[in-house]
Amino acid sequence: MFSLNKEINKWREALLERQTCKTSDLDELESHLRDEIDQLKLNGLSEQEAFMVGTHRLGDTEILADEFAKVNESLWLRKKLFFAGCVLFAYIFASYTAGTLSKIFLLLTTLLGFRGYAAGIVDPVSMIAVFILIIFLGYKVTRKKDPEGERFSKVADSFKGKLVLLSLAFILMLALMAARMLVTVLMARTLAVQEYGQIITPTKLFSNLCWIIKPVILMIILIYLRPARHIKTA
Amino acid sequence: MTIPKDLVAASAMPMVLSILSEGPNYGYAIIKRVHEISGGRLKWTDGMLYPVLHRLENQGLIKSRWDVSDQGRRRKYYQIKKQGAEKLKSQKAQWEIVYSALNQLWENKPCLV
Repeated sequence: MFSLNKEINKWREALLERQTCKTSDLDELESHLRDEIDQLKLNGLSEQEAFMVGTHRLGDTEILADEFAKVNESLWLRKKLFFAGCVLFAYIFASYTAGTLSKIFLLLTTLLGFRGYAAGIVDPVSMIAVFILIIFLGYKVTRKKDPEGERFSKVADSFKGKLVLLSLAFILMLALMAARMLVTVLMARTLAVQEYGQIITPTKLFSNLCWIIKPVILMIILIYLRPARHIKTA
Repeated sequence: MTIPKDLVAASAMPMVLSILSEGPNYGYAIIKRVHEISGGRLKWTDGMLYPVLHRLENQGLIKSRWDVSDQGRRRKYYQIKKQGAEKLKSQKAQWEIVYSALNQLWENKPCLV
């Protein structure tokens, strides 16, 4: 059974695939197509025939999408920049959260009575572990909740969406920063100077190493998970 | 006889601006109008009109708004702006130069006197 709405949706998806058309562009083309189909049906064509002739007259979806790309170039570029910004932020966010959580783990370790250089290792090791976990889970969740990147496009298209996202990120980062400071103050207060120094030495040593390791880990995870189609083109 | 692509593309802008100077209109009707005035000889791929319209809008020559048709269908109507009317005027002058130049060449019969 031929369902016009279903076919029109499929046709819209084909146009959307290249991420060059805005939703309003598609609405406009659909309105045109439906006008054409009505006219062709009046001329005696069946709905299916009218749909086929109508889409043919509108032109090949790939060529059409490319044509829209030329007009929407700035929009496309903005989206790309926004996406790059999001990735950068996700990286900073993941490192920072991992850094804060690892400090909390370190505090708990010292509260349990562990001391010395070995205790200090807890910080970098847990940092790397949490970092991997956040990137991995974050990626899996986004892929599951937003496989085609539609929600992402919606946020990227609206100013309000971007504002909300940005302020949310800002508040989160502030909260993380506060937690981090609190942990450091607590550790400095509860530990003797000598003990604090011993614990902090490997932490500092490894944290420099982590700056090199983390981007490499990020790359490996992303290659392993393979980005979605929209990430490649966006 | 079909008009080659280049010529269709070159004439698209003055064509659209001229049709819109008759009054606000939407894409489907603009296509029909082009079809009608050219007796079907000027063939546009329907979808290609929209990038042209959007480009004209980006250039500030026309403006658009969404409205609802009699059948309850959402439609985007385009309207020419003052800058568009001015652009059309200069385009018209350019096309007239080309037309009259060609015309002189084609209508110049050998002089027998």
